[in-house]
Amino acid sequence: MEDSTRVRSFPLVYLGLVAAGVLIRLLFLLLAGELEPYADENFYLYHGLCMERFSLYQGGVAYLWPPGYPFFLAVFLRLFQGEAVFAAKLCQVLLAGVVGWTLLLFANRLFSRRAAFVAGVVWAVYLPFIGFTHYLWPEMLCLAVSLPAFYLLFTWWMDSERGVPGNGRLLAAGLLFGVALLIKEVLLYFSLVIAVLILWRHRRFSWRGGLSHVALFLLSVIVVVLPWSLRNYEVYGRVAPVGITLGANCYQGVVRPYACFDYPRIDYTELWDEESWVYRRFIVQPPGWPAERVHAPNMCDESTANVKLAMGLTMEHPWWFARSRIKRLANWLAPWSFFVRHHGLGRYHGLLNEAPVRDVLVVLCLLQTAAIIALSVPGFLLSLRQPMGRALLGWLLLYGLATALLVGMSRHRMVVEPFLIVLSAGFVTGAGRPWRGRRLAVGVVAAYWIVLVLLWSINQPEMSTFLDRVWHS
Amino acid sequence: MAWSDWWRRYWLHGLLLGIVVAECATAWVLHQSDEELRGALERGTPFQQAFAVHVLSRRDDPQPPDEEVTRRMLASPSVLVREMTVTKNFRLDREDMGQSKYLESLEDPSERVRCEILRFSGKGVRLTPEKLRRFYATLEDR
Repeated sequence: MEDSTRVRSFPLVYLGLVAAGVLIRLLFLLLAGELEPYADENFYLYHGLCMERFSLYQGGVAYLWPPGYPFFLAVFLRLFQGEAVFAAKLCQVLLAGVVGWTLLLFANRLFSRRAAFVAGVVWAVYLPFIGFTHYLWPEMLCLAVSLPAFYLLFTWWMDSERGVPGNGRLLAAGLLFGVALLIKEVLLYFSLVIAVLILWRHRRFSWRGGLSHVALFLLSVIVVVLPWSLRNYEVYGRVAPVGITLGANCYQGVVRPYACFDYPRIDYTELWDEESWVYRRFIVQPPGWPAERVHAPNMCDESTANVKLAMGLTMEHPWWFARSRIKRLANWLAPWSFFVRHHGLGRYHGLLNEAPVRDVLVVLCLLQTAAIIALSVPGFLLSLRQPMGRALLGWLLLYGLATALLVGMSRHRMVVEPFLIVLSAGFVTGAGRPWRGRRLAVGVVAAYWIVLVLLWSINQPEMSTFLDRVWHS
Repeated sequence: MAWSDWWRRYWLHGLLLGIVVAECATAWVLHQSDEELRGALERGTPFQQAFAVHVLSRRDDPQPPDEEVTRRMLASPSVLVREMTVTKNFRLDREDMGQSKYLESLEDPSERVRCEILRFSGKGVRLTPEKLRRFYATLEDR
């Protein structure tokens, strides 16, 4: 009963923390003013506009994003027309409160109230998350739906272990997970990982019960996603459960010459000369590399053909593929975020772009990101003891890492970033000496920190070039 | 196991499975074959025509956008269909089959603004908040 008691008597100070986080985001939204949409933001807005105007989701030219975020924007366009962008961002600010609250609950369940407090404080001032409340990317909306789904799943696990009956939470988790997939499809295959985890959790009780719960979870996900899958089958004549993005990502991550969207508008030929170690090891492609995308009239066929092309190249040059993924990993683990990128691109105006404020914010943002990346792994290995928590977060981190190896950029870290905050909070508030008697785990943590420094040094030229732009913008 | 036990354990599974079957049945009923869509192109309402082009240009054997179809859609009495036809992602303007001329011929300034915003916003041109306001202002003008 300890966990339930902890949650029920969650003090008001935590509500205050969430409110403070929301107010800080609101302040940044007002200070950022009318940001001009950049890159994919234009396309999301355009798809939303077409959806609102024509009641059809037209999809892109080489990809089909899930419809959730364009639909979200279309609703605001219908309601607020010319002021829809501000209204949608305001809604994202409020939804960020859901993220903050769920993150606090997770930290409380996995560690302690102190950890929840620290996680809440970090979340409230965490600039990469603050940035995504006033951008038109679907990350914040996806987190506001997927985090409660994970929390419901986790609490269902915990309570069913104590014999508390009821499948309502499992059903709600599946439905929310389905909605999250309609916003961002990155977690699609994680639903299968969850199914395996449910079976694993039941291994000591009964397989039949486990299968029953797996069926319930997957059915509740399918119920939400299926209408859209059937629409895709009607329109494209192919099976596409949520979106059609894998081919485009394979092209970006394997086929085309190296580029990282965290550092746009960089001339890579000037960044590294051809003799440099990083360029020769991690960037340059083998001679005669086909950099062209495969085109096909049907978008599904085009995606499949590009996946096959990337797979073929990988099979032909496995060593190059392995080496090039190190750079993708470095991008994913870099202390970087779209908040810094936006400053480098000169997107902000007014107070947020004035020298002392801008410089402090950018340095703070870099330090925040570096800290949670560095402290989350010791939090997982040394402080997290709860077995289901270890299983869920461990697989989620591995899944996030695996998907990031394809394209690798800071935005793709967003799905796991709330958990990095929770784990870091667990580590810094860890009672006693969690490392005592755990030599292997301590060794792994030390190795992780060394690898992290090496990976950051690989990214240093791109980061320095971009930071120069920040200081001189 | 008694029937009541089965019901207690699996009614939720049954309900979800029923919804899944209903969703599939709805899709099966609403499905339109290529022939039916081509028929809608010939005889449908302007919106059915537009929808038919939308689906046919994305299917297994995409129908190349026909100049006659484009011309008819641009002459549609429905403003929505005319706007839809000039958008970048509608798959009718791969080789610009009359959309540019149509834009030039537009005398209604509000329709021209909307069509231009829709046509160019999807092609890397920024859909700024200002443009969005202009877009909706033209709707209010009408």
